[in-house]
Amino acid sequence: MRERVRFALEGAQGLERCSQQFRTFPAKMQEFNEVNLLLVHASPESSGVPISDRDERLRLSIHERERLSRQGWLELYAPSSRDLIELAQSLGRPHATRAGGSIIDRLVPTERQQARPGTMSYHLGFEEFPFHTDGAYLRIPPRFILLRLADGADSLRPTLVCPFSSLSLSNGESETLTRDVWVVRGSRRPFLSPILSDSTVHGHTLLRFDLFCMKPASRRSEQSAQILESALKKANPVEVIWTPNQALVLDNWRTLHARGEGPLDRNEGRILERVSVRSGG
Amino acid sequence: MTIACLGWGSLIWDPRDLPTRGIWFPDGPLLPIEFARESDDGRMTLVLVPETAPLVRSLWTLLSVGDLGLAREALRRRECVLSKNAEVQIGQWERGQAGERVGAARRIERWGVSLDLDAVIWTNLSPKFHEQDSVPSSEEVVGHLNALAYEKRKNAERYIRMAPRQIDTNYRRAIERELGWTPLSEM
Repeated sequence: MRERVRFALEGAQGLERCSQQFRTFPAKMQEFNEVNLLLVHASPESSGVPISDRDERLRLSIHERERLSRQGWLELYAPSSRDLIELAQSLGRPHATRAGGSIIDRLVPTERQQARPGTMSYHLGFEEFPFHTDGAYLRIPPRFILLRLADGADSLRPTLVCPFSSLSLSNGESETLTRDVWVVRGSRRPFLSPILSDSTVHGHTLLRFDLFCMKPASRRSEQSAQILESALKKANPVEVIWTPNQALVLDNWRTLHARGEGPLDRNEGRILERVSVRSGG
Repeated sequence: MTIACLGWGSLIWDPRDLPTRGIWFPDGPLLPIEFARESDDGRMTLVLVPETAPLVRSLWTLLSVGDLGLAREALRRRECVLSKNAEVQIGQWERGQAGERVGAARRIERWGVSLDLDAVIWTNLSPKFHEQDSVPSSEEVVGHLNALAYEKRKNAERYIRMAPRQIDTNYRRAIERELGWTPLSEM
């Protein structure tokens, strides 16, 4: 038990070490599979999260899984950060978005001048964020994004959700999104990708869209951004109004999201917790 | 009727015409799974083995058909199981179905009940090695894979590397250690 707590406290790196240790001691493998190890990182913002030692984890219900499978997003109840991580674990492998970072990101509205380069806040500050998918700069972006209004936070700004399947696109337009190539920057090496790729992950069509890290590889490729932006203007996105203990799950390979408009200034406490989840299935 | 299909191998990255709802969830039942079936093209594929093997967490998906017969038939076709063998080689648990279950079937039943599913199906092929219905040792599996000709070896390597990371079996570790075939899968 002490070992489990220590690994849990060490977060993502701890899990890796934990996994390595079980490789050294295979007899522990079954225990590793059995325990409900929480990926809680002991960063200052999440150090108050208790370590779970219970047998039953919070899991998505069948109906919630059906809804997520069908519509590509899901609103649900998650009264704590721990619940958010447990839910994430029922979808795949939660991971830190930055090396050595926390499993839980805290998204705080930030002025342009104070924002980290490469982030949307760096370009837009307190403004609305356009529709995008998260982690578009990664060769394989996270499959799921879980968001939750942080304890004590408050937000008058909604998050807008738009499943790709809800967009009115002709076959020809979808084909253009699959064909036109973009240069994706932001990771170690730039790479080429269409907005809609059916070759990145076998058996899946993957949506990638973030104009802050993607540039058309040729003039022709600009057409695909126009197609998508035009469809998004006509779309009727779902408006998620943030309330305490509310969480949102996005299938990031087929759903776009955006920060909506509203009275936002530096004094507003809009803090969202975010967990990114890898999943190949 | 809410029907789930369990997966641990190529069904996940290559479901073909299996009518899934698109998401494979990683919190399936703990099952004894191992790279213990030699396929016709020489690959060592993942199958359920007797309970002596360490347990690993399987994956599962919801099917978009509500009829158990249709679901079984779809899985049978995907797995190229002959109709005459479907009764045995396509496993099933259905809520309210009579009968005492043991081993993996019992684990699946408990899991299905806990999730409030109506039915669960899975591929129930048995271990096989060199035409014998037996479980090979990890040394035999590594030796077999290492001796495959180029094309077959490439296919075999791809299968093992594509298997979800959570299917972390003893044989996989031996293969990774001896042949360097590390996981490719995101999951």
